[in-house]
Amino acid sequence: MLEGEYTIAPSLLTDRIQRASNLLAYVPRKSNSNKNQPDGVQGLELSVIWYTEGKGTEDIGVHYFERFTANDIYQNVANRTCNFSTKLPWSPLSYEGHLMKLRWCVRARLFTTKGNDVCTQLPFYLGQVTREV
Amino acid sequence: MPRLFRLWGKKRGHRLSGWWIVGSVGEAIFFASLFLLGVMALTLVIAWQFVAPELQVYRIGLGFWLLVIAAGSFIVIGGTGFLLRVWRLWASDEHRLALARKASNLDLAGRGKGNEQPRTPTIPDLASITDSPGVRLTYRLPASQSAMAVMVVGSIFILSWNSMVAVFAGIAFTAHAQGSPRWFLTLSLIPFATAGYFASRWFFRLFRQLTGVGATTVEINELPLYPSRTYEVCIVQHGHLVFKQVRVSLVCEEEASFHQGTDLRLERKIVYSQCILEQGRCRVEPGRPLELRAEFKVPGNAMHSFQSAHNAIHWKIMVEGDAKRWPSFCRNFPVIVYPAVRETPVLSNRA
Repeated sequence: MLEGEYTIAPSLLTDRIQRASNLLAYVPRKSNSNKNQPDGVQGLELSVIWYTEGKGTEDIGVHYFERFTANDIYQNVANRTCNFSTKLPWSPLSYEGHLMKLRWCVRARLFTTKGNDVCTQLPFYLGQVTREV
Repeated sequence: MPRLFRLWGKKRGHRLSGWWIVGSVGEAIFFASLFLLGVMALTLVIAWQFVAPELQVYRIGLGFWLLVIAAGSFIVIGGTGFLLRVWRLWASDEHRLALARKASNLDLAGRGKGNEQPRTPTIPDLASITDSPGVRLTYRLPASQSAMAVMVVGSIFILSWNSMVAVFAGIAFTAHAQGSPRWFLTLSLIPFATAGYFASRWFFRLFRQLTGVGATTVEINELPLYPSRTYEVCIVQHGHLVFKQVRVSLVCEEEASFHQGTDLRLERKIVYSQCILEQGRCRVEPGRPLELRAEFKVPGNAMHSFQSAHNAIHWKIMVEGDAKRWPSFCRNFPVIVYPAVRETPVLSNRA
């Protein structure tokens, strides 16, 4: 349930992003320059989205979107911080229906220089509606 | 050992085996080829007119214009398809949607000023149901047009079908009259005529139901509806008939559309129904319509109205009637439920 100011456990989200970046261990690093820099990472997309699940075709709506470059990732993720803030809308609220479910999540998508991407998401509940009335 | 290159994959739940990029690149190549083919064909056809007009290979006429249209359509389809595929390869789903949202939020016409409702893009537009003022209460709700649309489509089908059967029946009758009967045609007409009979019966039943019972109007004191609030509703039934029962309900219905093979299917399910009022035996006469008033409360945990491309949650006031010597009827009047008003929620993540 979200009411007023809501805080997602930051460690949880950054842990997940860190875990996603760990999956990219196979990406070769540059031999020189800063060794801590996650070479091979092209960018990170952070978005707050809603999507439907159920019998119907999936619909997605993006509420918040931000793209970080490789340098941003180095500065943010390596220091285990990822700051963002957004005002959530009045609708659509999270919903557990019969034919459809409406879910919200924070999604992080990490892109490598090889063209692959690793996606992880943290679901959260918006509103108080639990099931079909 | 995993294969290095898979041309096609299998869908395993949400995961797709194989390389999705192969499919996208393949599609992009196909559309690029189509585009190039169109450009080459159009260039060839037009250039021939200037380079060697005396040969008259592609003389300006019907064939020439058909070639131009075909080549033009190749260019449009190929170009659009190629750009869309490249766009899909270049940007993630979220990125594409974010850009689309940004583009749609551009206020080019200078609208959006003044005291407006907060933007709720997934809630259907209120203007469509608040543009008609009521006589007894503030708003008169529009009736759902689905039954009327079915009747219009049905009437076109019935007319076409029965005309076709009549033409073939005329041919068969003439053949019989001339002494050279066409038995295959005559026997084939039996199932066609039977289908036409049942379709016509269904149509006239629907027509009688829609036009004979008389108009129903529903008025409401306030829109949009909010959870936990009470509203007044007034139902007026015109016509000349005796009702055995009239029932008015507040209904919430989920709707989902999906592809099954090549078909587009639509499934609906009523997930909530609250009886607003029930009226027993009553008589309606011309000039003396039946007028019913009631109050109802929207449940506190009601999900708001929702509309996206393939999924929807509709709220409506449903009027069901069971009349003497008339088929029973059901009429729907859509209403819009907004989320409960609370302090604007903020999602923040601070390390």
